[in-house]
Amino acid sequence: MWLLKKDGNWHPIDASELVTANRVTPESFEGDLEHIASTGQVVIINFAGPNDGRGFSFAKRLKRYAPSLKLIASGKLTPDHARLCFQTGFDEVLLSDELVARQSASAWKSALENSVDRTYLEDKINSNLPSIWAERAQEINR
Amino acid sequence: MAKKVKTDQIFVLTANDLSSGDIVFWSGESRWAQEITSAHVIAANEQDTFTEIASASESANEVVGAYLTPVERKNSDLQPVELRERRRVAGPSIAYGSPVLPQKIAA
Amino acid sequence: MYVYDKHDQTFVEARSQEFRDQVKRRLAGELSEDEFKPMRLMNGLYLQLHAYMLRVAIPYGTLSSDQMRKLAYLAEKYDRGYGHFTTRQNIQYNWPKLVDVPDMLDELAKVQMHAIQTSGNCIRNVTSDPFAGVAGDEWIDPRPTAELLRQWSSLHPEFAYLPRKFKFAVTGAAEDRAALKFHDIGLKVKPGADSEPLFEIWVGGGQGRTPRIAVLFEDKVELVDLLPKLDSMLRVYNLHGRRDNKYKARIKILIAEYGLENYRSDVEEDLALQSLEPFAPAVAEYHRIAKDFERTDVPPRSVSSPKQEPQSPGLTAWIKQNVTSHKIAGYGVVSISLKPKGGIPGDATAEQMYALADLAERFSLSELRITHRQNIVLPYVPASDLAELYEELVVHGLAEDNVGLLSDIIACPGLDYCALATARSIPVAQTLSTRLRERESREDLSGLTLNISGCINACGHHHAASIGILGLNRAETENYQITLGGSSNDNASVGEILGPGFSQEEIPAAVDRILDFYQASKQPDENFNQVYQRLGKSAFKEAVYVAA
Ligand code: SF4
Repeated sequence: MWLLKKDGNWHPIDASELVTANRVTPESFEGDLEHIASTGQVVIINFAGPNDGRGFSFAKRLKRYAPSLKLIASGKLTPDHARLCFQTGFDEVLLSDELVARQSASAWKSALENSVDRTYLEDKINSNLPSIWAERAQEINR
Repeated sequence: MAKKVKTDQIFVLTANDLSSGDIVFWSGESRWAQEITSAHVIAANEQDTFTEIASASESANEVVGAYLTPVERKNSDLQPVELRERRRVAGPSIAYGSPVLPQKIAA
Repeated sequence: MYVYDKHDQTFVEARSQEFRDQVKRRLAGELSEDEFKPMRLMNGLYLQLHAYMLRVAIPYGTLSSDQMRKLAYLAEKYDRGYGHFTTRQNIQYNWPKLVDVPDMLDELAKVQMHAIQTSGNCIRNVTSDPFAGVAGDEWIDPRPTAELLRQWSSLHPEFAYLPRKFKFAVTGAAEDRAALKFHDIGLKVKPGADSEPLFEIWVGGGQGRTPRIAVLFEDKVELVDLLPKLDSMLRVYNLHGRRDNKYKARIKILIAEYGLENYRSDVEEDLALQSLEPFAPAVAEYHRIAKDFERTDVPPRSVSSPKQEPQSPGLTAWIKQNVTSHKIAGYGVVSISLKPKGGIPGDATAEQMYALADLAERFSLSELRITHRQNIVLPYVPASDLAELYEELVVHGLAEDNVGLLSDIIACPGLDYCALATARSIPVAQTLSTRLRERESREDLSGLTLNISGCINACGHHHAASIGILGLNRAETENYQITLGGSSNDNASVGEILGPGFSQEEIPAAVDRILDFYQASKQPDENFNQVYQRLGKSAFKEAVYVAA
């Protein structure tokens, strides 16, 4: 297994390192945040399919509720989901060997580099460039 | 085509060209043709073979959305059985993009 | 009009670049069709019945002459010389090649346009009142709100994979010209204290298989609270909307099954968790945007033209039917019909688009609008220029004087283009428009609408018309169902199915019988839906089927 970080870099990880992580699936999204937050410091949120965006909203809520939690996205993801993961509160993306073999590590890095990773409300990933609205506000105040 | 079909039902394999989007038909000579007249006629018991050809061509990124569609012979021409497929083969039924004739200014 | 600053410009260019990379990876085989499909859809690229189709956003239906010229250029260079304006104020090109689409997007970016989120299960192009900024009955221009929503929702990381597509409409006038209550969320803007905007939020409207009229979610929402609230509304929908059945995935079903009160309390709970910081600039943004929409360059015009030239009957009829009063004296709002007798609703050739761009430049301060009824509006035409404009429109086949009449038919592309269609809609519209134009020369058919969809998805808004026609496939033959009594205005209603369907050939006679019965039954000052409500379905049914 591999972990993708915000800077587009990878490192291999042994499954045993994640045994203590709290695994959350879409079904348990209904579960209360307090319970999830008290169950461990690392939460792996599973995406049921490439078109199922619940994980993004769930991560956003959970991260707000407990900012110190480490959130890892896993499941059926494509390289173009990387931006969405990092902008919704995930710290890392967990990918299976099979996924990496098919899509290649460079595809993930390239998708991250080529994606519009700064929006009107979201800061640029992995840089200190603020969101477009925040920058405009600074320009007005200058 | 998971539906139950008559054993004498015939099919053609159709798809869209990946880069142009044009409608294409499997011609049986390892290539795709633009016209249904060049389509290879597939018997009901050959469907699996051609479904494999379809996936292989999709994986090779030649075409998208390949599928078998039932056809019948009409005066030696091949015509799809389904309404949607008949329209797909025939193209839009309307004169499109033609300049609208200027109307006369009412005197 | 809103003018991009460097950030907006960089943003659309970067999005175009991103899509170019995705297309490159697709053509190289690094992306499978399954992986690429959601990416192309999120950029408005479909695979239709015959070819790819690119849908370009015209945010809130407002565009400049330069932008219209670019749309014409794309039609000419990359398509077959025409485009189709849709009920969501967008334009569709029916024949682009995948390899050309990145270049088309680059061309669009040059004039501050894009195809972002014109498809896919995300927040779609925001629609609005085509008379925004010029209507006499307007309280507040809805477009600054619509542009604020465009910026908030563009590439919003959380809402790229919602359970289903999500449509917003915004209005700010007494008359609803944007079918507000048929949207997932409709915002009605009214002026509050210090003329700051206050919002009514309507939720859960929609057409398709289960038509629903939106319900009021909240009244008098202040600008500062608007986006955090909408963000929470979308988040709750994203988490709880159904994903097991695409026909039950729209927010209207969540509201119906989960209940408005439960939905509201989940939204409140989520709001309590929100970090408001990212939204802090929104109020200043709104006012920055609103400044762009204030036209300070409208020269004053005298109210009565100096010399009264004799008018041709054609001009008089066209002014009466297609020109609406303007909030500024001496100006008119001109609607240009894309429904010529026997024509294809919403289609315009490249030549016509070039002509429209030029005419807008000459007569309308270079501004145009697209309406959800698939027509074009020139919003700033001096009354003294109407005659000259009319003559130009005649030359380009754009002078049909039927805006707001029954022959001003909405029709979706149907089975002539659409991969999801069950029957054709365009030929039905063409036949009916020819017949109805003849009837209209003899009788008054204003205040009724006729809309046609080629399948249950209802892009042709058939549920929302006085007379709706839905094309179906019955045993591989086209068959058409008629609905009566729908409306998309403030008293929005969903049409009722009249009875068994008709063949394409039978439809004109059936519509004639409906109209004959309506004309014979109506009392003075009664409109079609009032007659329908008074007499009921059975009376109409009898008139249509028994007489047959
Ligand atoms: S209503 Fe159906 S046929 Fe018409 S455009 Fe929409 S999906 Fe296509």
